[in-house]
Amino acid sequence: MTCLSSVLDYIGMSDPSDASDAGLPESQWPSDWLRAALGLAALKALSAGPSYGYAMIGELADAGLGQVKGGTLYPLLNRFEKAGLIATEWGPGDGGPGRKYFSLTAAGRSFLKEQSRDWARFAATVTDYLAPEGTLQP
Amino acid sequence: MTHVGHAHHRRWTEEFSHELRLRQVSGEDINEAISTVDEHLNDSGESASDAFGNPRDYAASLGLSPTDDGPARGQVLVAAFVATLSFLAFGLAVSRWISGEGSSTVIICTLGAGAIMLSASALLTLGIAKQIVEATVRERFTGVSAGAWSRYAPAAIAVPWVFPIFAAVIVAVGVLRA
Repeated sequence: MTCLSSVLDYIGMSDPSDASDAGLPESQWPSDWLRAALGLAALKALSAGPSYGYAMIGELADAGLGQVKGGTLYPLLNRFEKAGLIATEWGPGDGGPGRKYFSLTAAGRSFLKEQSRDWARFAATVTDYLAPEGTLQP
Repeated sequence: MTHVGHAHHRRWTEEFSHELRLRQVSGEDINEAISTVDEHLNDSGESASDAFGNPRDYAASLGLSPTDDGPARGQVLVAAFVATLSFLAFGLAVSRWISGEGSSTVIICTLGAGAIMLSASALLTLGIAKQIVEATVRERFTGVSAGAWSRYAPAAIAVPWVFPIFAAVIVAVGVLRA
């Protein structure tokens, strides 16, 4: 009964499009999962070309990863910059001050490619393992 | 756009840059971090603490490295070298003066070397004191141990004055013997 009501709560809170599968709304993925995936997702958000912080947050939200805070994204980008995976450059802003543009370096691009492949294997392994008995694909 | 100039924003930014300064992050990196915060808040319309949380925690999470203190350490070494040389020069010149060789060259050498020795000792003390303070602050805010600096701080600050004290002893002994 309480379980049903909490599911109904979720449905009430989320978009009509989310209502059909009654799962967690996108903004409520467990933070542990997000922490693990956010690094690669941030690099992916730069794969189409240089971008800036707020646009990346928008892109990640559109991809269904929920609303990432600036306090989470920028330290991550700083670490990637230190590791040589991304480069930064100040460009003109829209009327405001400047904008800091982030872009993938060659090392970042190959890191993203490799890790995306590994992530897919990891996700498949977890999914297979978690599948209820008898539904496992041969 | 309304947040910039707002008291809350100003206080947040002050605390943020203060924390970065204590972590000895370079001025350039501090300015860049603040510009990035401003840019983000202009875009999102959020308040600084909503977007970035506690300014101290955010400063720590950026992982910006402290400025290289190589130049400061170099200045200490140069001051120590100059103090040693001028001490030797003063010793030679003053012993000649005391033994009766009162030519103007000897007098000028004595006074010049003495003045250089005193200035170098003072600079050396300042340099060493600065290193000690920075090591202590670094220990407090980044957990990197101040190590030998904190244990031998009083001795380290006193060391440069060995030169003028020895010089004074040389003068005193020479005058008494003459």
